Amino acid sequence: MLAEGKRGRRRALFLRRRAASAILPPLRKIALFSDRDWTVNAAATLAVAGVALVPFIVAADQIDRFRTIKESAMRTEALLGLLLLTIAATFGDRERLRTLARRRELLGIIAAGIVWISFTTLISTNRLLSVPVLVTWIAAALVFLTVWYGARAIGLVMIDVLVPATVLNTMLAFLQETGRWNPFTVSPRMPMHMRATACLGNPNIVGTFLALNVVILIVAAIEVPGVRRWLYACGAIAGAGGVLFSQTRTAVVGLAAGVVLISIGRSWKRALLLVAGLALALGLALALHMRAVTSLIAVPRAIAQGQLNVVASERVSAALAAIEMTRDRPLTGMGPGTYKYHYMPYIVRVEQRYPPSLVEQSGTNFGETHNDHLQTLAETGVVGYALFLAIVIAIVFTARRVTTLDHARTRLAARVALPLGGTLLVLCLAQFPLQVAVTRELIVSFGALLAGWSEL
Amino acid sequence: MSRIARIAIVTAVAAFCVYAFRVWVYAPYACDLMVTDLRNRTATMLDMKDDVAATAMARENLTDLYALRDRCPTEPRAYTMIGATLDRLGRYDEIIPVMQDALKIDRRPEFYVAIGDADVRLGRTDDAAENYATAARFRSNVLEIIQSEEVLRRVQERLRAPR
Repeated sequence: MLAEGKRGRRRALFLRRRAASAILPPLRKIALFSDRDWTVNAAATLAVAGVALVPFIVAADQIDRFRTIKESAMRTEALLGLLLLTIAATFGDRERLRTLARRRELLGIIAAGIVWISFTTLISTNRLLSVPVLVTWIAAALVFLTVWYGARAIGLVMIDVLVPATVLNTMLAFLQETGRWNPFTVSPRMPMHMRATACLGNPNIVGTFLALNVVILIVAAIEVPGVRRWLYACGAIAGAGGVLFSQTRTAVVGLAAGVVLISIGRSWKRALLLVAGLALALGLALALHMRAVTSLIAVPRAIAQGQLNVVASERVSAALAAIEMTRDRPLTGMGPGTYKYHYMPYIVRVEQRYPPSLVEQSGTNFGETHNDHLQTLAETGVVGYALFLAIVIAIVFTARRVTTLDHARTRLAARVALPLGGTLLVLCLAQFPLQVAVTRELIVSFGALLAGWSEL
Repeated sequence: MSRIARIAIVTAVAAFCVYAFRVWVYAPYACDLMVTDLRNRTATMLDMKDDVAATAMARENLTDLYALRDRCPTEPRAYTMIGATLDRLGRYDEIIPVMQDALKIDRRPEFYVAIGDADVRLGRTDDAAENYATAARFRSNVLEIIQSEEVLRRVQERLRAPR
């Protein structure tokens, strides 16, 4: 009996190995990534799929075509990542996990961020609204860990996939803005500009997303030789056009800040070339009367005339409401996701405290502050905001503090970290890239990728 | 760690992922699907000229709208549609608790206006004035939709009074 059982087990093992030898080699041939550990390859595939697909996922027949479905996609990626990391920890090559565990400063900040959001959710002024935001940030942390885990196997394909995301969304936004074609059914009462959503959301999200993409593509075009350089350059030019078409002033400023940061630390010739290119693009946009630039130039005059809130599309009052919330609960904030809940009573208070020229508003109900710095402060307090800044700074320092620039991806990570981080912080001044899945996916994935590539 | 323990861990995490997918991925998406469907149905109901048909449709919609509110309690549009449907059915006293629940997730002026409208229909002039005034402090054009002169006078008194 015992001998028979042993024989049966051996036969089963033999059959399993034969099946594996028949299936795995062809799979390896078609695999995009060729790391020795299949879990690393799977994480890399998941990471690239996330960055490539999220900008195009839409629910065309629903009221909310973009935000919920993209959020769902990012959460799906996070759950698949969690399962993959569990398999890696139990069955895979644990060496990679040990390498990640050694990066205590980055892991510590991410863990502290999740602990702090959990704590602020627990003591939130509206827990019902805070729980979904907590889930969103846990999902973002899981995506970060998955991409970081797979970064070793991710090549320049991660940059490649930004090109179609940039070019196709720019083309679609242009067609929508000019009224030539729109794949989505929109109300005839909707202003033409608001119809320029591309596959991303609204014109502000289009501008924000494209500005981040363009910064990465410009650095990649400078650093990567060969055919790819031209591919990235074309993507960057198209994306810069898209930023101007989106009429998002903050995106123009963010992109300009990114270009200035790219030129830092380079030869003066290259720096001059970059800044001259930027000036030429802005001059051209001004000559063509593109609203993103003309309205930007009108800002100082409007401020001098005391119309700051009008020129800032009523965002001054929204920002002041966030400041008032921070004053009331400076350490822990009001709770994640509760800004929109507290907006109305606080805006009434703001109107009583500040001069009318600063806070005059038409009664628009702001769901977001349109300033992620202040919204993070208002919702998670000083500690939450400090952790947000710490994560950005830690990634930038990790990517730049490399011992050698011989490896192409390490060099790219070192060069792109500062401009990307700087652009993000500028965009957060008058936009909400952290609140929208499509930009959050890009930021989190590239943050993890930069950390991972710096270890190569 | 034994092989069985490792398989158990992976199975447990996989089961958690399936559960989390249902709760945190599919459920919000399903909420959006329901909102889209019910918004179209509510719009059709509100446009109907035939009162009998509209009432029948409103009753049918109401069951689904309450189901939507229970499944997606943080969806403000569910409360707005319930308010509009109850208004069409003339069940004004039911509007107030629904809108008070809505104010627990979103303090937008529309909800105060809906309570104010219901209060006017129920003859509670003072309560109506208080709710309209709260909405008007945020959005001044609320004053334009107040039809009762008495209520409007009381709202303006409240707005003038020092707070």
